[in-house]
Amino acid sequence: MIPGIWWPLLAITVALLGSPVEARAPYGPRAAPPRTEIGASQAVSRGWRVTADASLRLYLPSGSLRVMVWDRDSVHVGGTLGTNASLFGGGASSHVKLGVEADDMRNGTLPSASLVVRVPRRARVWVKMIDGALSVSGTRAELEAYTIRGRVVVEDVAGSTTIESIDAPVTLNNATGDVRVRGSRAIVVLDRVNAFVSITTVSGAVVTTQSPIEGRIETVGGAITVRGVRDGARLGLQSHAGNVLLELPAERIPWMELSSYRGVVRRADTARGRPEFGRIDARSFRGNITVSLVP
Amino acid sequence: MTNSADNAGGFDHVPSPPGDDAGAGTCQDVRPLLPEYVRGVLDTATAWRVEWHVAHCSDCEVSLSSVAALPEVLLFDPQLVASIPLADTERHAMRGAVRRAISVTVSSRSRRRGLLVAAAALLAVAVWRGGGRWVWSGSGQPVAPMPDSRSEPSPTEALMRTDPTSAPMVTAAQLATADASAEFRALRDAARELEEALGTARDKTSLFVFRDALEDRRRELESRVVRVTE
Repeated sequence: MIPGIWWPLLAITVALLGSPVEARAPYGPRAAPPRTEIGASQAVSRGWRVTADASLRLYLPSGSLRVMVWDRDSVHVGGTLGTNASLFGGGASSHVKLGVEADDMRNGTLPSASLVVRVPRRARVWVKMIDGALSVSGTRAELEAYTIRGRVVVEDVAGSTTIESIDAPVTLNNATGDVRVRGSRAIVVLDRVNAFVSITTVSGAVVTTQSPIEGRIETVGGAITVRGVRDGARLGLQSHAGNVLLELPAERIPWMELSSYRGVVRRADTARGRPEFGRIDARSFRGNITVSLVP
Repeated sequence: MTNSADNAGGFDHVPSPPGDDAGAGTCQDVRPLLPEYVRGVLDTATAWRVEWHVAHCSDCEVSLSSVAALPEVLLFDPQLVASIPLADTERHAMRGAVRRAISVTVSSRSRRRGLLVAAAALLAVAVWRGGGRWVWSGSGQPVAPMPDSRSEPSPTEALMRTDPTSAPMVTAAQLATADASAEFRALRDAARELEEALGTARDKTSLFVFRDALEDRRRELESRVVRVTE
């Protein structure tokens, strides 16, 4: 027998235990999530049903955003919201918009959060940040990412990948398909990118390792370093003032055409270059072009 | 850098940019250009002169900050302003807010705060008159009723009506402009170098390729600054 005085306490305890169940049951029958407001400075865990190829638009002004794929037809957002930040979300099963916005517009700081978003593998993902760390891995259809500052790391992606930044270094590891990067003064690093690429920067350097099968890399002041190319690769490299360094295997030298208007072209033994090992066309206005053969 | 009160009166206290016979201009010359500079619609030579002047004049630097902090609608984007049904008196007040922001000086910080409050009030009026299409409050609700508030919009419709990143738009624009300015300078320097080479080169064909590439990079950067701040 429970004394009468304990009944209110029991009711409160049951209510407290019951409330997280609702918050953790995001995959209800409703396909289109309503606009959701969640208070600032708190953990967040929400999810929605979507189609396997849904379009997702993600906004995070500041903080960190990690986009991962999973083999479920749903989207899940987890993490923590900073002060002056609210999570909102909405859309339908085929398209979802999620983001973080400021509670108080008069607050001069950008709303921030640290979020992990899980999306279907074949989802089309569009991300916009202002200043933060963005990490995306595993997408197979389409990825578009825009940021001003921070850092962008993309790994194990396929399909169409577009990344634009003003001042954020970009790293791409293990990508296939079409890759387009528009950078400015930060470095762009491509490692094992077996793709058609179009990379441009202004003063940012570009470094590729065993990377593009075909494409163009252009900078204004940034150095271009190509460490090895795949057999049959076709690369166009152009720089205004940046130096171009080609580190190529001595046993598999691609055919090359190199020219610099005011710079110096330092050719190693490139006469042995053969088209079946690839073709590189590099030119610079006043940057030096150096070919280094490695065993 | 200088804080001379004579600056706004047109005293030419800023050294001329190297290699630019037109000079840096006086504060009176430069300040009316600041809204256009913030919007990125000046030609490169004029933008370069504005940057040079602002880099050497602390008063104009403060004015530029004030102008950059104004809501975009106050900077007279013709399309944006035309889309908002304003009375002549309201339009006149908006112009006045911009003029005062341009003429702000270091010593009048309280006045500057007042101007920003006035600008915010004008923006609220503009939003109300424009139907509240493009500004949302921090809680996610429209500042003013939607024009077709007869029926409640679906969540999808409500979300698609606005770009949430427009909330910190001014901050994003400031960051992007600040970060991109060095890159624009690098592009201008490269273009000057190339023009000099074109003046003396016998075979210009190969140089045209580099010139086209610089122009492509400039356009890309301009459009990217716009895209990331939209």
